[in-house]
Amino acid sequence: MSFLQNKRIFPYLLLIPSLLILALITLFPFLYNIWVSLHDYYLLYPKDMTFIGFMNYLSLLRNGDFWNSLKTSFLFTISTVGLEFIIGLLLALLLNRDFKGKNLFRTLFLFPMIVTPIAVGYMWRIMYSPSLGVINYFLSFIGITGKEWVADPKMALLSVVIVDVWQWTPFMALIFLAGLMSLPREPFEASIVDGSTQVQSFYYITLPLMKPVFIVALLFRFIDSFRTFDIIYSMTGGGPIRATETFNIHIYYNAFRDLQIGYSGALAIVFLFLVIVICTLILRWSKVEIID
Amino acid sequence: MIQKKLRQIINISCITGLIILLLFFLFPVIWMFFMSIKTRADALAMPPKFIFQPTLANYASVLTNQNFIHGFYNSLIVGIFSLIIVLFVGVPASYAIARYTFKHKRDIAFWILSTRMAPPIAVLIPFYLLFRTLGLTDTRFSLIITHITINLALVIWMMRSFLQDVPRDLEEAALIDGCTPMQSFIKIILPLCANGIIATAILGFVFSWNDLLFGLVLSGANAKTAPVFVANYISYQEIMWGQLCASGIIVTIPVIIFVGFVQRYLIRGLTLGAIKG
Repeated sequence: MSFLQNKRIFPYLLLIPSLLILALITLFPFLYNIWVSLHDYYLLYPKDMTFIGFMNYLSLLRNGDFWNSLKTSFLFTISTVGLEFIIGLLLALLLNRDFKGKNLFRTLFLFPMIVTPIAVGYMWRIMYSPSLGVINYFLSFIGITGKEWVADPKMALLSVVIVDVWQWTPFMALIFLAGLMSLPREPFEASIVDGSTQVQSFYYITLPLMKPVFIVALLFRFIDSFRTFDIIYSMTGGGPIRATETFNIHIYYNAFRDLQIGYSGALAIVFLFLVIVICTLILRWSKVEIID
Repeated sequence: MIQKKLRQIINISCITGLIILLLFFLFPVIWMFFMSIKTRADALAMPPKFIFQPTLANYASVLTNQNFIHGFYNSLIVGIFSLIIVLFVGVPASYAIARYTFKHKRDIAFWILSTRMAPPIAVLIPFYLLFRTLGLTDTRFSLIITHITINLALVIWMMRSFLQDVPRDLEEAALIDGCTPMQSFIKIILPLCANGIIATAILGFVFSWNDLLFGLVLSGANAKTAPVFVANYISYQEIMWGQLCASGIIVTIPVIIFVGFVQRYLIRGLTLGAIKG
């Protein structure tokens, strides 16, 4: 029993089960992906699996669909996270004021992010319906003729961006609100004494103090927006003509529709690499510590 | 006088802005509910009907669908069991990270966090091949194992933020009284953060419940989860909007109930404890 009581060994004892599970869910997939990405592997003919070195990586670099999906992903991620940031900040500032029913308002804004994502996708698909949808019906009141929305290659990406913004802006807003409410009072009192305007104190005090909160929100939204699956799958399935085929959807189809496992393994490694690099850059560049 | 007028104008425009935003964020949910209680004819009416005779027929047909009930049950089992595993291994790890200093602590903490960053599809391909080789596709077991990846980082990081809130003196007193570190962890610390554990468990369950991708790939007729059932609805019944919406609402109801309990911890959970909310 003295082994269990040893204070130096104790933390490792607590960690061992987690480390084993971590190895199973990180090291195993990572190494397996790398191994499989070095092979030509069509799922239905596992016996024909052949080692081809880095050929999968070379062929993805030459594949237009790969570049298209990457471009779509970045367009999707930058526009969703950008819009969510701006509208979320606005919403947080509005919610941070004193008025009656403040808590009720805050609760109601939770709805978009807790509705099951697959249901979100279908619900919007129904509302986007060109002939029977409620959105075109509302637009007709302000003289805008019906759009095809998700069926139009030019509008499809915008349509799914709107849904993601709908779903996740409240998340940004509530994070920002939590940040705003925990700001210290002293700097603002001092700035009033110094005669600065509200706009000035927002720009010079609120924004800099909120930086860690902004970074956390951006980081999590980036991670999730970049891997968005459910709403795109249910609304457009990546179409029409690949207009909404993000990188994640692209890999999904390569792996589980076309069964090109070797090639998909290479794509997955590229995906992992991109996410880790971008997250690291966000954290380095902002100098915000999330591991203390 | 002008100051007062100006303030009033600002107040009114703020409230107006808030109400417009609220309408935008709530309307789709309300509309979905309306659709779910409309007859087929009313759901497809143009212009859309805002006043109609409600019906529960859509709910009845979803709830009497054996496949749906089965999917609901599968989701429940997968969520509960994967969460039990994650809590069992995650909470002790989280305690070690919150309280002790040891070699490579930062690396291990980052390693755990990286499971939240890693794209699920990169985890899914190898596990799909593994389960295929082992003949375990379309089992709840395969889903339980993969759902661990959804929640491990959540549990460890969120629990860490709760454990940090527990004053250190309590453990020190317990150690002086002759408790082993393990006893003080189990008998003193765990009961003190029971609320945190429940909140973490509920959020983890919600994330597991909402998952579509793992279910879509790993499950067939046997282990199909509720979201997968909803996803397949449209392919063979293209225009059954009422039933589709009803199934969406039914899948969402457990989430709404659960989140209702842990509302104040929602932001803490979604940011893995980084923002306390």
